Amino acid sequence: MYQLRSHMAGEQLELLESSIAETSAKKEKPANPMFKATMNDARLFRNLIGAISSLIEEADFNASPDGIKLRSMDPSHIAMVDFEWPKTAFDTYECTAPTKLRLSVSNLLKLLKRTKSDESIEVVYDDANKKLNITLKGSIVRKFITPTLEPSTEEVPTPKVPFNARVKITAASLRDIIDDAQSISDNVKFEVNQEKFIVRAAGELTSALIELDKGSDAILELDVKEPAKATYNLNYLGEIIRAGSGASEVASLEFSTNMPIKVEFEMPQQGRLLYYLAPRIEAE
Amino acid sequence: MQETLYRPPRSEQSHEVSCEICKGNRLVCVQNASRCPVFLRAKSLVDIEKVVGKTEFFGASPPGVFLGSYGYPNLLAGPLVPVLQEPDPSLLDAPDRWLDKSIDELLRYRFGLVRGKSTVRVQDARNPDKTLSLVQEIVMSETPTDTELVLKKKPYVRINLLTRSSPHGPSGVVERLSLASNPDVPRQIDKVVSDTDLPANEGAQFLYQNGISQQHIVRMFSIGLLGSSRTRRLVPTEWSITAIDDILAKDLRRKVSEYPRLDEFRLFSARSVGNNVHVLLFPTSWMFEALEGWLTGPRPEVFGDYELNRGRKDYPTNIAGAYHASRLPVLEYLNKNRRQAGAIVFLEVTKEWVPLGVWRFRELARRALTGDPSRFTSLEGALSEARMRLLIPYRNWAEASRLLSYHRTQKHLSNWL
Repeated sequence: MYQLRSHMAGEQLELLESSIAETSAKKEKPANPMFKATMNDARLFRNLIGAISSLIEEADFNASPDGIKLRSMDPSHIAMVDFEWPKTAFDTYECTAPTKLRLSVSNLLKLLKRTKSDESIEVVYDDANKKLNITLKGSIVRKFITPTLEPSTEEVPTPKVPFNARVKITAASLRDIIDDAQSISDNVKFEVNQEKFIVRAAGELTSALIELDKGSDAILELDVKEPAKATYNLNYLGEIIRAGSGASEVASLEFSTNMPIKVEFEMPQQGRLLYYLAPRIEAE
Repeated sequence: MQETLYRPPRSEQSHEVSCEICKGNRLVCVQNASRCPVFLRAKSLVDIEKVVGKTEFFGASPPGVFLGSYGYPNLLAGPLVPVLQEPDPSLLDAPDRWLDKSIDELLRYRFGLVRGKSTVRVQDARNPDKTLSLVQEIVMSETPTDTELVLKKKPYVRINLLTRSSPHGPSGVVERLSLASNPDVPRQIDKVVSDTDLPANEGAQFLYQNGISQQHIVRMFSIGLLGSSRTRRLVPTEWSITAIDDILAKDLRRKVSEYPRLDEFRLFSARSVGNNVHVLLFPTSWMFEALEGWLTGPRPEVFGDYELNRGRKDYPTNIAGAYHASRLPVLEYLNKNRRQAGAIVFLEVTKEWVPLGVWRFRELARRALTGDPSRFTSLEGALSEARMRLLIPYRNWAEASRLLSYHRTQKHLSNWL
């Protein structure tokens, strides 16, 4: 038996060889786990954890018999991630009672970064030891045990924003637009009217203007009750869009003048991945 | 990885080491040292030619070591040995004790250090030859070690000015090196050096928490004494300085981001050795900006880099090492007071300054933050006081700052909850 000493954030992590993992798992495994889920494509799981980690380092995952939910604000209270994964998104899913699991998302992602394309994943919560057991199965079986943290009692409400405009766009084009804007500025201005969606970014010397007509290939739907324009910080928006476009192919932007933006990524099987980001408003 | 992370960018070089003669192109003065005003000034302080007209040097290394980045991954490594009588040789390589010295004194300290050069490869850290292993012994010591340095030829007389590390004097190729006293190695140092499973960042953290001076940690990191056995390598001195500032800050940032927010605006100031540093703290979650303003050129110039709550992943290309050097003291202060805040650090370099290294920003910020702050209830109040203290017009700072406008314009989701 060998153990690999890990130095990630001082937390203990064990990597055990497959045969040993199985024998010891039999001993450790409680008779009736509170929470157990499997997915045939481990990378899908990794991308979703990546999407959450773009904004937050630690978060409460609420597991219930219907699926997993998470809603959390970033520490500066500028952005929020709202995430829901119904049990149908998993290949097998068991949850006997609602369970709150607080996890270090950045640590989790470090484990999952090494996931390979042909691997499946099994996640089991060991209630007795307050640990999460993650097993990646491919040509070899790798088992990780990571501690859970004390869950917070704080409930995060949904922002109440009257959205006047909705732009449905391919995630790939949205990502290109944001990357372009980020190369010249810290902020991006979104403008929308019945005909087009306009993106502006202005740096010290250079400025960029990207216009997408209603009929363009990138725009899937343009639904405008009232023209709107608002400015958003690209550090946050860039993280959100890079993360979301790794997990989805279609994004919807909803916003109103000088209001927060809601960025929603379409997910399979009634899954939900959306973000809110507060605007920047020039004081006049 | 270190080689890409901590290399000084061109902007830093041209501003840090620039005078009317070389305009930042140090090769001009390397080739024709007699034109370099800093060299001429150093020579007027120390009759160096007289004391280095020989090949054998005996002195107490502060301890000091220098590894140039030129030629990476092949480097020139070697000890710094003083040629002048100093009552306390440890002072010659102790930036944390330099703020009350004059620029002339500091020039004299550094110009009087002869540097031995021996060719090494970065991987040699794990498998040192005789010279390198003696240098490693010198570096482990907390106090000066009597060192006999024999050079192949009489050293070449010039002053080596660098962007981040402190300068040193004449240098020559090592013929033979020996120690005439036993290095005094603290227990913690021994523990970290002999633990070949301990990653470099954890080793550095451990030493820092156990009261080993930062300069000592930098020397250890540079000479390849930190890290797990397979990853130990030599790191040019200039990169090590910034790497250690960065490593020590990482853990602090994580702690600070969990503390409650400061409830007021605070302004701290300190000045010395031709530099002024002002630290503005404001009641937000952690964010940081360092603005570096130069009065050395024909008109004042300000450059800056910043990070938001999640910290920075890429390299601060505008002000480079000055960013890391001034961020660490701010995090130290916040951690000590168990508070979270946003910070803007104003770094002002006056015409008096000559390039002696990036330590002055770190030490000035530390000194400023140990003093009593001026307290304000509004950003405007704090800024109007800052305006009075700054030499470069406030307009230049405001134009260069990204965090000021971010702070003024970014809304929070709580307005819509």
